[in-house]
Amino acid sequence: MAEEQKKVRFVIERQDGPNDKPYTQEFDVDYRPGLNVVAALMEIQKHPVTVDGKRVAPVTWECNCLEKVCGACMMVINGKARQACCSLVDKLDQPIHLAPARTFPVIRDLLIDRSVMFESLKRIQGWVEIDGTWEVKDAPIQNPYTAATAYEISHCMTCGCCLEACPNVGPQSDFIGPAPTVQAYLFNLHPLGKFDAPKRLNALMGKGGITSCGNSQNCVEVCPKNIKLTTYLAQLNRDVNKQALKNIFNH
Amino acid sequence: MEEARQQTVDEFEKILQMNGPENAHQLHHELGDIMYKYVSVERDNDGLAECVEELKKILKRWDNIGITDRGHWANQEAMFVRQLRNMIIYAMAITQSALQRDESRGAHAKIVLESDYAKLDDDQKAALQKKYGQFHFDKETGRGMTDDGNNDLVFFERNDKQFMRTTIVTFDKEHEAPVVSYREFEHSLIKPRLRNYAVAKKE
Repeated sequence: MAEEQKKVRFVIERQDGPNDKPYTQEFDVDYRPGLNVVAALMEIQKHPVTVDGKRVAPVTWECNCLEKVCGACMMVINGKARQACCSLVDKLDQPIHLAPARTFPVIRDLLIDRSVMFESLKRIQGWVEIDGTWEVKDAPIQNPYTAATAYEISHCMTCGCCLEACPNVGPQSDFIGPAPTVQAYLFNLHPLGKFDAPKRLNALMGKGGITSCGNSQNCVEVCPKNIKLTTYLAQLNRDVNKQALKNIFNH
Repeated sequence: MEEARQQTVDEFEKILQMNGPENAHQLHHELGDIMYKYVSVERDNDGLAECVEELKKILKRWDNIGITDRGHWANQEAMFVRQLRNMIIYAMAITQSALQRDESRGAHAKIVLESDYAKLDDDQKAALQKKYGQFHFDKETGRGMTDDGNNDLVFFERNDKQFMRTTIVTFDKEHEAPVVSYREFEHSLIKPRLRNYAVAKKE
């Protein structure tokens, strides 16, 4: 006799539009070894029927790379912000609860608008100015003492887990959040990017900048890339204060 | 411009009304399976011909898709249905042009079948003999295999004389089928050579 197909129960918090009231629906997905949350959501698309047998619109969410590199599928899984693509069903308590990261505006179901982070990256000048009319010959080398740190921070995929976990990011505060803030540290380390360090530090001096960090340490706990966010936030705090003193002496 | 916009809007509204038994995501999964089975790195003409037929069926089934989400806000399902039709047509273009291209090029290797071998000219047959030594054709699949005991597959050589051209595929809407033609491209300044990573470049 064939063994009965094992099922995985998903409890999904849904929302039809930005201003609609959230509601939950439950789905059963056939278990298979190695199943992850994105693959399970894909199965729901193929068979969008709730446990009560109701045919519903398939759950809306966003994903892209499926290998924890792009950051698009960030959602709250069993209460913790993380990437759905690398969340293995075997390692999660069931039923599995999915909810959108409500720190960000919800577009629909689990689909959120993360553009606020990209706006913040513009604010802190999260790039290196290299384009010009001059010839760029040999590129300057990375500082070998800080290269490992730069490599670590460059893993940031702007997924937003740290913003979702941070108690200081929200309507009560202007804090731009750990991810964009720490990117300033990355580009200040860069052999060409360091020339714009004062610009970045001054940007972090303003409202919603580094002083809004409450050092609750949540960001470093949830970061899917294990970036030591609080370590670099502390370093940036020092750099920003140094810059403030320089500003006083008009240097 | 306005006309083209309206055409697209109408197309999308028609998708929102689709009410058949097929699920678009399931159909997409099957499309992927078919392409993986027949049009992977190693392919042969029998498989490609079969794939063309399978894809026709998939395209027919697209018409019978049913949609559960009929809203206009962030409707990923309807968007996907629209994209899926293009994916199927694209798959048809890939398969049809692969079928007509009797050669191996780049990463794509076409296995020589018994029926293909009969159509080769003497030079091509000699080239295969030289490369593979003696070979036979598998009774079941018709695939060329070496006689040295390893049963290594025999592949078409690259054929610049016939196929060093750009493939152009247009879609015949009336018959819902791809139409393949070729276009010459400029290569007078660089002499074409085999892409061979086993030896150092001599230039």
